[in-house]
Amino acid sequence: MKKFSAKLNIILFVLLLALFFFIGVLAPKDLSTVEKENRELKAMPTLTKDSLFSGSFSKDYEDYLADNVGYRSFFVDLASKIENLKGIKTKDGRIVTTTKDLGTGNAGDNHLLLLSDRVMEVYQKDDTARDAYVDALNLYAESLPENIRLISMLIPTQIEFYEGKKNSDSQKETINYIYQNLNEDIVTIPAYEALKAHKDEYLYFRTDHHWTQRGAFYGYAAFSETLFGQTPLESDYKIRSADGFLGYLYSQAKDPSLKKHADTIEWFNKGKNLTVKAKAFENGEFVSYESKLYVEPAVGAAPKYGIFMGGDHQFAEITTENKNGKTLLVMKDSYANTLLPFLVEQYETVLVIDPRNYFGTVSALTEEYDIDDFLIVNYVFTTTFGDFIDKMNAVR
Amino acid sequence: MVFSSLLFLCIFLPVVLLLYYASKNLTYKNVILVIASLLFYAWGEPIYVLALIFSSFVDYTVGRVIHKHFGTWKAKAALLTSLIINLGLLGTFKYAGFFVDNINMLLGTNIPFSGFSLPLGISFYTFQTLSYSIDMYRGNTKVQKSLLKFMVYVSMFPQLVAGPIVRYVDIEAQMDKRRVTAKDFEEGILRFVRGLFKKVILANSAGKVVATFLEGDLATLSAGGAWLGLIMYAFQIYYDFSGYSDMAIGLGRFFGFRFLENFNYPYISKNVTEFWRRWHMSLGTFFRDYVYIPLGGNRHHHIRNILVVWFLTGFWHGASWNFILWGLYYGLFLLIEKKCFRGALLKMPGWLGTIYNSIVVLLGWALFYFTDFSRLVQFFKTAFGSSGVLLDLTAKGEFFGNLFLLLLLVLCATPVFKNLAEKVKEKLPALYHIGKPVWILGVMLISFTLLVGQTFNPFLYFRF
Repeated sequence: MKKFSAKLNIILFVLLLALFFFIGVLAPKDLSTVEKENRELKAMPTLTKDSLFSGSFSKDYEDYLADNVGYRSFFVDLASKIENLKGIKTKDGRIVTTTKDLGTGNAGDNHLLLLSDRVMEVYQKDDTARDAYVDALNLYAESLPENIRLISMLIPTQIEFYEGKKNSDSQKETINYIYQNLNEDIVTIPAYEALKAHKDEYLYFRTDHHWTQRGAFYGYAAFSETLFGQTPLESDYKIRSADGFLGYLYSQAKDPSLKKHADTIEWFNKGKNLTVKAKAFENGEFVSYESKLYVEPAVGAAPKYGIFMGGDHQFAEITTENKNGKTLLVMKDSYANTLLPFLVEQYETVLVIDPRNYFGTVSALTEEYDIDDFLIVNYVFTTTFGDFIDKMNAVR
Repeated sequence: MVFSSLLFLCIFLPVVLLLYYASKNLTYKNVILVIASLLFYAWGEPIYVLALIFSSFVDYTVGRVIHKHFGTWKAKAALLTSLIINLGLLGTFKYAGFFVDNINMLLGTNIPFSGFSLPLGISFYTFQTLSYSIDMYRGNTKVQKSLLKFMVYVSMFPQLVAGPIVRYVDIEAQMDKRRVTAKDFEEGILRFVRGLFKKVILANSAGKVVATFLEGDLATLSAGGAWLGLIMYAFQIYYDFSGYSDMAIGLGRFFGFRFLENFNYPYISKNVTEFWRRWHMSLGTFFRDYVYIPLGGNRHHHIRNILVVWFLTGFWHGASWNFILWGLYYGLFLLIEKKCFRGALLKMPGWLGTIYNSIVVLLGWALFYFTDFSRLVQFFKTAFGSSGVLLDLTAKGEFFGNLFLLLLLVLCATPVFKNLAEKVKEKLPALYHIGKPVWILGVMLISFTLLVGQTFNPFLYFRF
């Protein structure tokens, strides 16, 4: 009996190893994991004398193996479920620490507050970066031609309005400080107050770090009232929605119980779904392509934040049907993507640049185009990203 | 390469087992083992694999010289050569940077040399080959005339990178007669699976909590968070290291080798003396047999010998003063236990002894973890309340969020499951026979899943 049992266990073990060999080596790679992780799967490294002796081949090969494991998304999801068996969640939620790629080439530490139905980024101020942000905007004010109106808009995030928040610094303080220290020619937009007044509405996603377009609507209201004395009406828009959005923070927090609290993306339609003419400088050459204000998801597909403007572009130009001769230049982070479809209502031409990878300079743009307003719009976390601010200076 | 990796589980192990069992010829098997082991090592150290081969060749030759000229000055010269070369290798690659730093500090010089990158496992294989030379010199072991078989001994991948430190005399008989019965192989599987469970499921999970608390800014932690981090570290290092030893022992069984145990539930020890008879036993016995006893043991210069051995034990763990301090810290407790409290220790109730030992060991881990002295000081300040916060959201969240894990970590550190398994085997053998495959299946599949979910997974003891 003992020997039979031993032989059985040996067969089991050998079969398991065979199974692992199959899944790891023979099974085809799982392409849906690329989508979920928003990156390319590692490719097979090349074996050269250098790569072998430096040890980079072996490291890269192991990464390649890990990325190309068959049924990878199944295992990653299952791993999350298993990890959640480690303990219990309390009402106060818990803090999860992950690393965050800012898109500037550097990764930073990111603290997330994980509640039962949502995830929020914890705000930790950085006075040095904040002061650099102020300096960057003031330098723009000084270097730009007199006729261009410089506008600053800073947007708070969800955790600011969450009563149970602890250990999150005051974003109001940061925004007020910056606004007060900006050059007096710079027009500041009170987005904070506008959002606060409606904080019980669906202004922020539960599983993503962005604001919803409803939040952007109120931000736009502040913009429109401050600059043009106009208040937009929600009833002027046809609101469409799509369910099942699981955003960036969901994939960072890796808590499968959040799936039941997936977000709904609403988008506000008024007038034409304008074409966005984008340009990028890649691999040594310029590439032109087109997108739209709203890139609607395919029927039945889960929506993404990329609905808005088709994502971030190095440079984009939108020509509207308002023949008022006014041009707006926007320098931004991804929070602006939900704002831009509103901004186009006030201008004939809207130019958008992403300072992380824009290939030109603002001063060149001021010569090429007849710019009236220059809006620098960021969410408050950007005031803590030193290297993002460096890039803002670099494109001046 | 690391045992708890997809590469090892999906490719290396299946292929090597297949090749090893493809023929019954022992020479063929040894060749496969050596090639696989050198590949295993070279995968992580493509250049330093030469140091490994060099050290093996030196001690193989030394062994033969001592054998041929046993008892003469030539044997002594050979032993000296082995000592100089092995300790020289270790000293150069592991400690050169440390020596230069200290010279710079003491003499105010500025020698611009920060040391070599540490070759994996050098602390293990140099000690292993040294043990052979010393045992040969003392006449305690038979010579190994076949270079191939000697290479098997030194380079065998199960114990190559993180122990246990295997003495040639312990596996000498198995070198030529390696029958692996079904029972042997099954025991190997159970051992390997136990190690995988400890490393992937227990140690890696504990490690996440350690990173949360001990890697960042210590001054802003809550006191509870600091202690939780340290306790998790105590568990992480135990399960990491003992798990690896379990896997090594299990793998050794697959190839017909029986290694000696390296850990024996150290955390249930009732005093520090007992702790060091249960923790990293192959290192303890190495220092006892090759340093402590030759120096005179407890007969001549007892205190000096203890301090020397513990200085070396600490120093072996890392080229940094905190490790030396950690070793001497234990040396001190051992001396106090031996000299002052011998009687008291024996009469103390078991549970009190375990608490005493746990406190000493836990504080010791703080010394071990922080190589930077200022961080160590800051840790203790925070641990005793300097931040003014007892429990913050992070600490509470991590505690509750790892509640069941903590329970498992504590229980598995005691023999409770082992005893339970033995009772079941005795009283309900059918259940036991069903339980084994369920355990194997469960651990292998869960570990595989977690490995896919995790991307980065090094062993802690890799710095040795």
